[in-house]
Amino acid sequence: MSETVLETLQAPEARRAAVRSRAFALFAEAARFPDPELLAAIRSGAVARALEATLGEVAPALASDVAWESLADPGPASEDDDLAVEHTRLFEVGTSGPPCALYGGLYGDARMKTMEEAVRFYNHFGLTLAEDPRELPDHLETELEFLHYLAFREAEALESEADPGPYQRAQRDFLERHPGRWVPKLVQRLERAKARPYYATLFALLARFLAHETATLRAIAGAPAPS
Amino acid sequence: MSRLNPRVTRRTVLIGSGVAAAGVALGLWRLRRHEPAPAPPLATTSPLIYTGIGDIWRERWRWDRVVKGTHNRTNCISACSWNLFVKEGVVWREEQNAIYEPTRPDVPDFNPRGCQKGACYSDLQVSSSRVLYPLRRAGPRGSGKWQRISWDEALTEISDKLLDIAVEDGTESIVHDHGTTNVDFGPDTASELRFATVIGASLLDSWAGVGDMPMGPVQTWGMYNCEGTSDDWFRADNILIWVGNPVYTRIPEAHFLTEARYKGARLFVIAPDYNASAVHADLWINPRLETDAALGLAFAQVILAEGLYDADYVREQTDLPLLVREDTGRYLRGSDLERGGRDDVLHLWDERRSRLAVVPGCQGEGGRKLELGELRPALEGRFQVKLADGKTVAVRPVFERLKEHLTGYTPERAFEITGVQPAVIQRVAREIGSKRRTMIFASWGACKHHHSDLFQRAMILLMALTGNQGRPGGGVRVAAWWPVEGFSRLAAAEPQISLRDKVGILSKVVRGMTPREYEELFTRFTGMRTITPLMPFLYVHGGYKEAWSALGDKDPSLKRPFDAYVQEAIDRGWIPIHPAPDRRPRAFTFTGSNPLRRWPAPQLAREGLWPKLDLVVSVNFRMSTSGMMADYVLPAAAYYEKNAIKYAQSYVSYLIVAEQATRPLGESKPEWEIFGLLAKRMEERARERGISNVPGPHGQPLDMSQVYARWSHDGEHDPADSRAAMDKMLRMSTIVDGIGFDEAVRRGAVKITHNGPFEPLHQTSSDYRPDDTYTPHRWFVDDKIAWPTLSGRQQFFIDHPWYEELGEVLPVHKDPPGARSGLPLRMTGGHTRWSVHAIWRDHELMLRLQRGQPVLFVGPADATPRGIRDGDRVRVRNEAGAFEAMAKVAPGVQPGQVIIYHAWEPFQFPGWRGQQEPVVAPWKPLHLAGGYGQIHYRMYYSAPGHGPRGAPVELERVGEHGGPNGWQGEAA
Repeated sequence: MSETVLETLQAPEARRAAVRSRAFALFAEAARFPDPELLAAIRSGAVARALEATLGEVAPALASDVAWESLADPGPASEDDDLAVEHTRLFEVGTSGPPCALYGGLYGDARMKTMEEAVRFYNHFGLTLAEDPRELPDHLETELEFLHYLAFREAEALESEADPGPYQRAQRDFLERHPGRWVPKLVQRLERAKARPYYATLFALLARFLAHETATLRAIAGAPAPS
Repeated sequence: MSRLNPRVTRRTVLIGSGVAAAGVALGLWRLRRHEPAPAPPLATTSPLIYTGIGDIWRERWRWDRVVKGTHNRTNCISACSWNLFVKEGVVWREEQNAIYEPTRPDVPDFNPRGCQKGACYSDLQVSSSRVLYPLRRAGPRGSGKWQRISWDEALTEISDKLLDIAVEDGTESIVHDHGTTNVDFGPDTASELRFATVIGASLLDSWAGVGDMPMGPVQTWGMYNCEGTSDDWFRADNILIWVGNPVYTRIPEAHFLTEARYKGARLFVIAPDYNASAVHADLWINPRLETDAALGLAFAQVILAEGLYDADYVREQTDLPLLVREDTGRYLRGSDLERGGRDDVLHLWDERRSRLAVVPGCQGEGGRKLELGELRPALEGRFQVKLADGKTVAVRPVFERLKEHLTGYTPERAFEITGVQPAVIQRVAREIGSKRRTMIFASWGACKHHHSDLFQRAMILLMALTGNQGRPGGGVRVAAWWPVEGFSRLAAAEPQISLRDKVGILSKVVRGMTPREYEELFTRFTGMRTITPLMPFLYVHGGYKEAWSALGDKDPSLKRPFDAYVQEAIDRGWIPIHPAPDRRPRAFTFTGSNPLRRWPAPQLAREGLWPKLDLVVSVNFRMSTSGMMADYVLPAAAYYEKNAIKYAQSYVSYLIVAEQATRPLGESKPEWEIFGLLAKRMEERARERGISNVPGPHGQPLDMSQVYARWSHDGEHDPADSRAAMDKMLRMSTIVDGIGFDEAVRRGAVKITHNGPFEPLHQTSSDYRPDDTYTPHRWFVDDKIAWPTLSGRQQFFIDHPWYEELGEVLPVHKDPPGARSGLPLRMTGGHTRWSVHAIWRDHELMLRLQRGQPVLFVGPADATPRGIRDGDRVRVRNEAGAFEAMAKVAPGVQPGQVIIYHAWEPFQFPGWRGQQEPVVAPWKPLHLAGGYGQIHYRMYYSAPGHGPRGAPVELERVGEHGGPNGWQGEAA
């Protein structure tokens, strides 16, 4: 893990990009396997509050009509059923795979090509996959983390009056071709799988956020060039 | 501006920190910056160029490395080396490593080797069916609720439960099933076998249990390994594919069949259905279902009647000249001729001297060789012999009895049984009896019928009569392995040979042990282990007794109740049962096996065995149907994530090895490590809990506080270092000249250089030359070593009391139970083109190439009267169970037959009711027989098999195409 903190951003555009970067990271965090620390954060309402505040700052409409109480309620916990069991059921284990896998390449016809493109994006921006934990390049957390990184770099560029264009265009393209393409399908699968409200709400909100970001980035960076 | 923040250590800081501060932390967990190039300070980074998607695709994709790999824990019969292309810790694609040299200038080479499954394993190993974290069942078994737990928790909990069971009921109550699907010859299989041994677990012998036991060869030869290199097929002039479909199941080898045809060989395919191999045949012969023994015996009848047999070969290599008493119908034995004489000394009539002679190389004669020297055994005639009690009896050679016996199988009579025209039978028999080299490809499929042994005995008879067995391009072929000594030694865990044994066999070793001597030694070791053949285990412990006994009692060929045979076999010690019948199995651990898919009528085990088990542990890289019914699932690394040796089938004269290409995904680990860690934790927990001796194998004390010391051989082996283990294994292995790990994985395919020792399991039976094709059984045929049978020969006359009782002293045709059921259809199957057992069965890339869901093949003659159209959903049922699948109306299927290819996962069927539900598969109690020459149980040898083919069923249409549970796919 590496950490950098941006503080005291002056440029409003830079602050907006930084908040968007935070939003990507928050979604990645809220969707990860719920260990006791994350469960406590959900139960305390910290996850809901952080998302509500951040999305509200990105665009007030994003934070309206959201069942925030669902994001503060991991659901009933018993010996054989809690949010961790639900995470495993939905996203990790099942016959021929779980019902709602978190790998983007599984929502299309060309898994390896999808993963290759993700890796090409990461490499192009000086990143590589971490060795521990060993995950695949099209995993939701990895993709959201990459967007978090791009938005962060965008904020830096804006604050230092450098060209933010490459980061904005890359976010637009990566979003449209990767999580923006498959997360809506994931939301449908979650509905079919009768996911707990926490995940149903979280991913519906993520899909809404990704759609908003796609539109925003298109407005900023223009439509993508034909591929 | 920005600064590195060393204080941020947890991601939830994101959530906890105040957003109002307008600060944001950059946190990377799944990604990291490229190393070793230092990242420039973020704020001063020079602007990157990214104008559009084309920018990222412009740069040439460069591999981090190319690694030699294989599909090591896939139980596919082939072994193929692949180049694995690695980048960013992912294997993106694989390509055949086509480095094999031709063994002779006049035969084609092995290249390229591989199949479509191997070519997409890179995709399968990143599919969502992977299990990446240790799991503990959260809801009831099969509920699909799992708790992700740490390795530490998993190892401790499993260890404690195993220790509890060992203390309370002894270690034999822990049953380990390594199955066959997950076997390789590398560190991973060695590790799990070591583990099972050092904890004193009962080991399931699933060889026969999966229907792969060639009992006909065992009965006839005392061994079943009978294959050479597949380029030896090229040397055949006639090739009979008989109960096999190599175009599906031998994809890397099948080109030799085509090339042999180009050279002028004739291809005969004997199969009831017009299968993918039959389309290549010069002549397709389609007997009625399960009448193959009758067909084979009819061929033999023609060969004998027309004098097409090789008399010299028959005299020397078979038991046909051996004398049989007319009064008892049994061999003339040493004990008949003198008081205190041996039962295993047999006789022939020497025509030259007109007198009796002891058979050279028969078991009691003690000789190593079968060569006749000056003897000329009579094949025909009737002779008078004076017995020790003064009585004179008539004796005749088996040959004469056989000729008489075969009059029941003239082409005309065989036509009534098989439906094959007499002229066709005569034509094929004459081809076999010609001087052309003839080979029968029979394979494992020929073991999966109720009377497969009779099919095989008839096939071997043909090859023996015509002198083809043991000749290049000739003989019956099933399979054989190159012996990898390093594997055998590492897997054994405990010293197999005591000092006393070593001294005892030293002289034999010096002069070279014969197959029979190895066999005797192997039988002794079997008795020392706690191994149980699967079918008797399921009969005693698994909840199958009632079903099998009921079906067995309806079998008119059985003279006593089914239970009586089983009980007698147990009482006589012919078949070992662990845990003992009065104990219960309490823990069941399994690796690649998938019992609730594969076992006969697995609903019986779900109801009869599973409730008895306090602990069920699956170790697998994927979630199988059986894994869904486990208490713990431990994630195994995928094939490309391990150092490994593929099991060494004799088809290719190379040992195929693999280097770990990438680190295991998630928290998965190689089995070498998993079982090493489990042994370690068991030892630690035993010490912490003050547990030492518990009742171990055979009730002997076993010290559980030394489990890891035994697994690791006092620290010699390290669970974290499979590379070192594999290096040791390779260096111990004669067949590759003790090559080390580095050189082996550099090549990927290592040329076999020497035979290696004879081992009953992984045997070869000819001297090996790197510059020649390899033909099995030449030690016996060319070097005149005695076969490991009572007679020292290929033995067709078996005068065991049970064989007499059940009418199988000589090979016969018998209707299988399925033919007498009253149901109109019989369900057969075969290994599929699209998967290797259940692996790849649910893989999307493979499903796209078929109909995407379980399919039942049915011919128009059976489909139309039932109103079944192609694509309809049908129910297949009998008294035992039912399943639903899509109908594929196929004109190539014989009337009265339906086919469902192998290994669909039950979870791919509605209600998880899989294709095995109606397949109770009663087995032949004859296969429990022991106490006679080659007829007895030993580890992975000679046990009742699972005969799933030919289950009687009825079929009905239940709906239109597809349905709610069919595989529907999903639009991208």
